[in-house]
Amino acid sequence: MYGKSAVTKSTAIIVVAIIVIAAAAAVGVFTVVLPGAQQTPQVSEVRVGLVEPLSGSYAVFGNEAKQAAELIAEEINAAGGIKNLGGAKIKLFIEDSKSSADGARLAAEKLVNVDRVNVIIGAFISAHTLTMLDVTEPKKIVVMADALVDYLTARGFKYIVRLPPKASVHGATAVDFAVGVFKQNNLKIQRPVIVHFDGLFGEVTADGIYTRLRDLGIKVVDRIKYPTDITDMAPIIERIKNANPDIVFAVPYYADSIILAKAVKSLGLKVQFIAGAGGTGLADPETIKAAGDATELMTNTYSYDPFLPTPYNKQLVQKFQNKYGKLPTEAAGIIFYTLWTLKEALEVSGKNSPSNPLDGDSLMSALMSLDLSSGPAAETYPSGRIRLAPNGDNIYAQAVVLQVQNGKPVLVYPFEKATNPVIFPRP
Amino acid sequence: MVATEVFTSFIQYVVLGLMLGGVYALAAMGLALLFGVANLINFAHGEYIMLAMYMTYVVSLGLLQDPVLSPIVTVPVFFIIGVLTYLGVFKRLVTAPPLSQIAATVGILVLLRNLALTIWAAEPKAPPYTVFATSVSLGPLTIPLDKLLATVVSIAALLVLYFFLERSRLGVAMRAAADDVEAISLMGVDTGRLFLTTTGISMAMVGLSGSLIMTFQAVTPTSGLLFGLLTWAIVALAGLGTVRGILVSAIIFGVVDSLASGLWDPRGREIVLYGLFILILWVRPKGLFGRR
Amino acid sequence: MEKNRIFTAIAGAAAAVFPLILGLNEYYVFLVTLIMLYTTIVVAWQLIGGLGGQLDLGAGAYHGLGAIVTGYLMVYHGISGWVGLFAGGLAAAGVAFIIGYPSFRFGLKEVWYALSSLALVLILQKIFLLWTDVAGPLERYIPYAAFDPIFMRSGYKTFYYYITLALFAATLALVYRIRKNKLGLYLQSIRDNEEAAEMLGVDVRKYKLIALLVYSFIAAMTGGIYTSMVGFYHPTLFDSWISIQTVTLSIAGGLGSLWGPPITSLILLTVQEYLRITLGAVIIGLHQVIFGIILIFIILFRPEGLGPLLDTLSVRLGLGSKASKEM
Repeated sequence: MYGKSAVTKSTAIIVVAIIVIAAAAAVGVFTVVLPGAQQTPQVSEVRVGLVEPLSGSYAVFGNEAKQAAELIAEEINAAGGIKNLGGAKIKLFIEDSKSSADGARLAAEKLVNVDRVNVIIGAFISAHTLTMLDVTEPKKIVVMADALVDYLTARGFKYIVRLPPKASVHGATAVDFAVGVFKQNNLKIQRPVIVHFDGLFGEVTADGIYTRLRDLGIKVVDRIKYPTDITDMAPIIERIKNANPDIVFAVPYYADSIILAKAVKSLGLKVQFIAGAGGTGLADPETIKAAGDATELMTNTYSYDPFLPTPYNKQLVQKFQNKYGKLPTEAAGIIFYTLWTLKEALEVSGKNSPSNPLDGDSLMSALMSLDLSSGPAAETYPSGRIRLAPNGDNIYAQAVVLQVQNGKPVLVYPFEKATNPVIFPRP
Repeated sequence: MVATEVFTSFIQYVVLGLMLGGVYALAAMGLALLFGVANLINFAHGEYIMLAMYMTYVVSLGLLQDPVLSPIVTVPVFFIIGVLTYLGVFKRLVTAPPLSQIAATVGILVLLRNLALTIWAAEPKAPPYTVFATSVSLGPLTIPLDKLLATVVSIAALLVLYFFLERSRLGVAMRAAADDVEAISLMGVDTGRLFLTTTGISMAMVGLSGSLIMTFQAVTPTSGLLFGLLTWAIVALAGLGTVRGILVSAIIFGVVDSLASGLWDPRGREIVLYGLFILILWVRPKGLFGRR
Repeated sequence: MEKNRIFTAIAGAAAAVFPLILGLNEYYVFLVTLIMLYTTIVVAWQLIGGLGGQLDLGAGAYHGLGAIVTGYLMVYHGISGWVGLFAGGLAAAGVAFIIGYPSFRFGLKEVWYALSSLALVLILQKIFLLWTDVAGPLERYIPYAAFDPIFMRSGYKTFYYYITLALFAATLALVYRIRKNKLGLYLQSIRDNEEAAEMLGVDVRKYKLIALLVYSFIAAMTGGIYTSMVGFYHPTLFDSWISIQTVTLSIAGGLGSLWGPPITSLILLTVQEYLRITLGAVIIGLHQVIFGIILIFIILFRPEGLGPLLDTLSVRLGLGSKASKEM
């Protein structure tokens, strides 16, 4: 516009601007990216990421998991950390998944790319755990899942292990328990109804129940799905009534279990037994507190037995109760044995792969080599034994059943280990 | 299933729906009043209902135990909240264009909803039992007493409002304002005070309905959105102007709600309710009983 | 004018190399891409809200629909995400038409349009929740690929950064052009006084509809990009919060200005992320409350939004004349 010189001047300014920015960028790359890629040869700490729902609908579980993790990490560190790694301490990096899949994924991104953790425990909710794998698998970060859905170990993911019994096992356990209870009273299950929330976990666990019943030759009368965020269960109770069941199998999460229990009471649903599956809701202290006596005589299956009479478990439960004022159940229990198993694996890895003990492959092979039947990990596990199959599941997985009696959860199954006999039927 | 069983089921759902309708009518009435008299679009109406529900929860947990007693607290408190909201926000909005009213009340919506998320977290909250958490049998039908009570109280409140609007001076002024605001201000009525009182009464009804809803339902931070859309839909169907219109419209929605959840799928509920809403907007924009 | 070009050139160059400045850190690039995606919706919203004067609350519906359509095509039919973006856009525009045409035709008052667009978010969410063949309550996962540009899938967030940057720039350019040309003037006249515009022969319905279709198409594309980036889709992607966020950011930025909304959006969303990172785990949800409070203050006390402020600022800096900013 003002002649050639003005054009070249503005062009020059633009070119300079780009060069300056490119230089800044190069600096950014060299100072941040490259050094981060180098592995520090000295292992002074083991960075353990924890992704749990600390806010949102599932905060109840996430917070319990967090409490358990802090307790165990402290114990491990106080006892000298990981001996085969020169006493390296466990450092927890806790992220909130905000009870959503996006949140879990974001948390995993942060843990992997910013905090540079060596292993991730999480995310309690099965659907959320799957989204994390997108981030961890390519980078070979081991995920120790505290989520139950079968998929997690069935899809060919390489860097995942899962110690608690999977969802279908929970479902099958609920059925075996119920069949056993009916048999003790000279009855047979003939008209079961399954009611569950419509998420991934609800579906798979309900499938587990259905499959087990089918294998036993029992036909399911009705299978009712409801949205996880339901607030009024009157229509659901109606539908259950119409099916005229002799037993109701329920797979809820936490909040819906409270609403279910209350609706059962206020609408006067009469059924011989109500058995939950999946470890969340109905028979844990939080739910009992929130629903009052509506949960009386309901049961649920759990991945952890707080009444397991091994010396370490008894001591741990007492410690947990003293510190947090409540009985540890599903969320805490899974963390107990998962973290202790990690410790055992780290010891093995430190010995077998001294040059890169925290590498994903080293850790996985260490985990696979474990066969624990003693020690804190085994002492907190329901079956007392931990050994991983190639797909990452525990070969000796076992779920237990707790029933609410007089406002407290008690162990009723496996029958040989029960602290109390089952109360049957419902009034 | 045998035909009589299906029929009984159907009637059961209809009965449940009728009861829901009574409660929804009270919830929607506050909105209709505000919109009709002060010409004020309160996009956050649902959130106020949600706030009332949370307040009921807190009050029941702390002091009163039975949520049935909570209106003792929520009604006066919400009247005051209404007054404060008017003085703080609505006063400036009454003369503003509709878009500004919507925008500003959306702001209140955001604030209330996130406040609820922060204070009470996302899981549903429900108060301890009401003493009415049982049911009576009427032949083959089960009548839950908590819902019945809520309906009875709601309808009683609506009757009170009806007589208020018909007989009292303030009520007549409000109805006149709904017809022609300029005319009544020319006649010497202090429209500012009138709107202030209207907002107060509207909110008091919100308080009462929130408490009643809590006797049989739980609350989450998304309840605001759901009740907001529902009450607006009821107002859309009813058109503006009559208590009776709101009641009938709300009952229609209540029955549709119950049938959809029971016979189809609880998740289909929203599709049917809001689908109905959109249909009304296309087919009968003036609603069934509108006067304008 | 010269300064304008220089400024744009610098901004463009910075945007182009930004991932490098962030050290290619996956996490940070991810956040920045997200912020840019949501800002793109805000810019597109100017067409229906800022210019067309309709308070549309359907952003969550269109974004979600784009995500589901794109995701579904990628997962179940192996169709490239690029095609998916386009298909998602068409689907959203189609749905928008179904809602918009009758609403504008009957001349419904603003509040009913706002409500029905909000209702759309929930209706679509529930429909897809029940439609198990396509979506359903279970998450659907898109197959992982480290870098497959033809399929539009990559494990590297930088890939998505550039796609989003292209969309963002294109949307800005589009809105800029529309404002200047006939369509923009028509929309403005409708916003200022609909009845007068109609009497003057402006086909109110047609122009509002065009604005709505373009905006919904773009919003859907952001959804498609999002779902490919995170690798899964689920009906919760129909989120009313996206609708509300878009509206409030647009209003805070100033309904009439071009730069106000995007700049406000970039700033506030970055602040929100920062708060979420630092405070989020301390007091849950606090960052959103603060966000809400900031917004109410702006709406109540500065209803024109930050737009005019930014305009004045840019005039002071010598970037363009005051007249070109007038709306």
